[in-house]
Amino acid sequence: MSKRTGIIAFLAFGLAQLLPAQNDWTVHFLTDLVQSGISNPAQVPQGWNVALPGGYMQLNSSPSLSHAVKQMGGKNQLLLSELGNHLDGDFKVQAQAQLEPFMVSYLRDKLSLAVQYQEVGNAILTANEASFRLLTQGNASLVGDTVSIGGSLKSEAYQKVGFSIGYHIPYFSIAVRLNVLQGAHYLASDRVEGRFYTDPDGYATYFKTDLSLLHAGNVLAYSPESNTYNLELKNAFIPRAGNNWGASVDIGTKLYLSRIFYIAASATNLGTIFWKQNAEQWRNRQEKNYAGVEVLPPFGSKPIDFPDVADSLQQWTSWQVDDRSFQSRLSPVIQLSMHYTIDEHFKFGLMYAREYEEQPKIPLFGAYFSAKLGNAIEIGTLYSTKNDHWLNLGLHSVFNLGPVQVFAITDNALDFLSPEPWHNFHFRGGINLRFDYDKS
Amino acid sequence: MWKWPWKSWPLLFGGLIGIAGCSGWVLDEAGVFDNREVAVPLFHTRFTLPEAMTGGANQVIILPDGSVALEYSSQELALQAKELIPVLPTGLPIPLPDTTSRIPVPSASGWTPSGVTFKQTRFLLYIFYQSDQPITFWLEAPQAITASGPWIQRFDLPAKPTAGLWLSPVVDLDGVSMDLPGGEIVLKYGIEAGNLPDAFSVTITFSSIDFYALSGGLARMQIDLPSGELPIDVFENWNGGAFSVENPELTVTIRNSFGIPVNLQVDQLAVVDAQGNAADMVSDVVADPIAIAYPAVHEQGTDRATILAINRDNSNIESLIQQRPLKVVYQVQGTINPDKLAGPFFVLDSSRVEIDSRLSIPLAGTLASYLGVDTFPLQVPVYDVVEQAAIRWTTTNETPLSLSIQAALFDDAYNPLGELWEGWADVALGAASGAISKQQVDLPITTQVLDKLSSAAYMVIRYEMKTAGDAPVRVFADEHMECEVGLNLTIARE
Repeated sequence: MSKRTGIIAFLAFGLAQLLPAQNDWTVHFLTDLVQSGISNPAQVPQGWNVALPGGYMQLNSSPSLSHAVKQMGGKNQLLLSELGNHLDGDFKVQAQAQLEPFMVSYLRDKLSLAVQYQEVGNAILTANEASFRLLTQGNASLVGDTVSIGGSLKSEAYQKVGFSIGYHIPYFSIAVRLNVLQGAHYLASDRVEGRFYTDPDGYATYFKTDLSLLHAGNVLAYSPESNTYNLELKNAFIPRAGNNWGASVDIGTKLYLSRIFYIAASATNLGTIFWKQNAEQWRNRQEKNYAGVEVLPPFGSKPIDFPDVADSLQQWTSWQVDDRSFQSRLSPVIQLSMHYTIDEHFKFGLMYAREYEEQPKIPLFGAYFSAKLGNAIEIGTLYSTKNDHWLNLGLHSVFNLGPVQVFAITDNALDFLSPEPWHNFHFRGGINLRFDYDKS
Repeated sequence: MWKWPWKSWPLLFGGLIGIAGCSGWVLDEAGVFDNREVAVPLFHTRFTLPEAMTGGANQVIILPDGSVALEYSSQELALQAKELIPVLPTGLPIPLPDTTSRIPVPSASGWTPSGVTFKQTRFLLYIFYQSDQPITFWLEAPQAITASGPWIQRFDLPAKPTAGLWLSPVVDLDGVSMDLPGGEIVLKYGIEAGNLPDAFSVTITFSSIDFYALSGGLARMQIDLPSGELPIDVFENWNGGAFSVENPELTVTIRNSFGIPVNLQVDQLAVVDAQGNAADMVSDVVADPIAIAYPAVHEQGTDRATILAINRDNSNIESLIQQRPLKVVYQVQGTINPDKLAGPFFVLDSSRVEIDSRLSIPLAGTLASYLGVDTFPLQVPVYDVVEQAAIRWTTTNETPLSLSIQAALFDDAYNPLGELWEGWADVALGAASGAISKQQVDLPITTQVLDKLSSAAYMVIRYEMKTAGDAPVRVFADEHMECEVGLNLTIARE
């Protein structure tokens, strides 16, 4: 696979993979669904609950990737350079995907048990405005400006098998979930520093880089000899035993203040993965000043051999690779929520979340409201401040068809309903089976 | 009994439409850019005029005030020793009629020699005699002095020589100096003991005669000297227009190591322009004739210089240079011993007359237009995804000269590929004295050559230099011109 194809595939991989659990909020309030326990293991529906394969995906980009899609010659093209006119500050793209092939929970009396298997993929890429323009538009528009190279990258893919146990008494529940993690892919920036300057007189170029990435797994491979990347995306989804083991803990609790009102708290993603398989550090540390070929008098006596700029770029963008085992923390999240049942038709809830890995610019807050239409249908909405937006409006619908639950959720309906392709979106869907549940 | 919620169909239907709306997400291509504009440095150069103008027929010299001048020079060997040293006949038997013989040295090339130093001069002795006893024979040149005294050689002659003749081995006089009183070589011979046998005769035959030095009197002679030429290429590319040069100077240095008075008559001293028209250079210092200095007898081995400095104060050279000559030509004749002096004079085998001509043209004055051409071999990488390209040329200039350039590309067979940009580009402005000018131009590369860049093997740059206004300017050696050249490329996605 060529270097260019590798980069594109890598971006596509990131866009297809992303979705951290902390960004899947509505389902937290749908306590009749077994998936509500993902964010708080103390939330377990009554009886047996089996989730058929489902999951969620989220794409969030600023500016929206929809601006990057254009049609040329009848073909759909996604070109990041098209975002230049819409850039207002840093570029950020975050994608998350979580496949949930299997999930079972059981609650009877005081005891709950649950088993779940998930395939998790996250990717987040940020670049300051100047770096993004440099990458997508070239350096000509930045001639005379000193560009501070800044940004971050983190992408990871791992499988998670969780076993949870809960203790439930009237007005109080507590549960803990132990997760065994198997890492498939990790690539994250360890250090991103640099400067780039193009002199306006003769385009003499100065650049200094101090970049360091940590990589592990068998999804992406880099060859220093050819400066090319090779992407084996399927390795992210095929369960296999490797050397990248890890563990995490999720803990949750509920406290009923009355029969219709309770508060919940949870801390999830408290864990680490130890990366050993193909664990490497990629470094690019150089300082160069290039003013072109030096032509000395007497003129015309020697040939002018213009170097191949593409070759130079190839050299400047290469990585030095060193074997290095490392460990990565998951992204811990704390959620506090309150749930209020207004009557048999309406429910209301509030939530506050705190993320410890990705620092949002505005506080994470959500307000939930749902209504039951008869016994079978529940629809509702969620207002939230996630994704650095003050206004995210979610919609959801749950169909209770006897033992079958069908649900569709989006935390961001305004973007989701956009007619443009590659707009920001969040979607969760699935089908559950439930047995021995409270039919009231 | 559970019932299908029929009224929920609109919601379900809407959801399906929403999901189906994602069909537009199918991508045929994805990339970072469609095209992007990159700015890359091409080349840079920083030079002074002396550095840039080195390499032609000229030399660049720095005058005492730090200003710069072009200097053209030529060295002509006008007269060599071989033209004045006589060539004497060899191979002829010269009999020695008596035990003391005086052999007249033939006058040749006007010389009346009074002394010589032989070089590679060799002879054989033929001695006819009859004797029953061996004889020791000696031959002496009393006027020839060596380190051990007068030159004398001894030979053992055998008894009863075959056919009455004895032939000596080769006798070499190399390095032997000899006075020639009365223009004659004095030789004596005899035997060590006893009297010469009857019928004893001696003959000398020279196989070669040459001299390290020759002195004596020399007749007045007229000799033709080779013509001289001083090429000037600075005006070869002249494109017309007014210009002026301040105080050019032609310095002619005549170095003479002959110990002989010589007069030079200048038959022609002129400049020749591109059309072949000649104009005489008239100068007070070019006398008719020019008596050139010569070393005295005791100064043998040295030379004496006669210097003619032709400048605007004593000649019309300044106006002649305005005519943009391509060369200075001269033709002279020499008169040896013009006053018929008695001498003695001398010539060494290393003696010569050299004429060293130097024309200095200061880079000072005004220049309306000076055209030049340089050809640069090129190697350009293949950029087949370039949609547009423009050259940015920035010049920081300390010299008073402005610079305009044209550039054309040629393939390896010198077939023209086209002009790199359209017309002349004013890439440098002349700076006022002590100041710095900066000029920046963007030159779009013509679409004609954009696709052929990688085929280019040569770039021919035509340049025009000029000064601004009518005020004379002066170029100094420490004034730099710095060019920084980059390329702005719009590159399409591959």
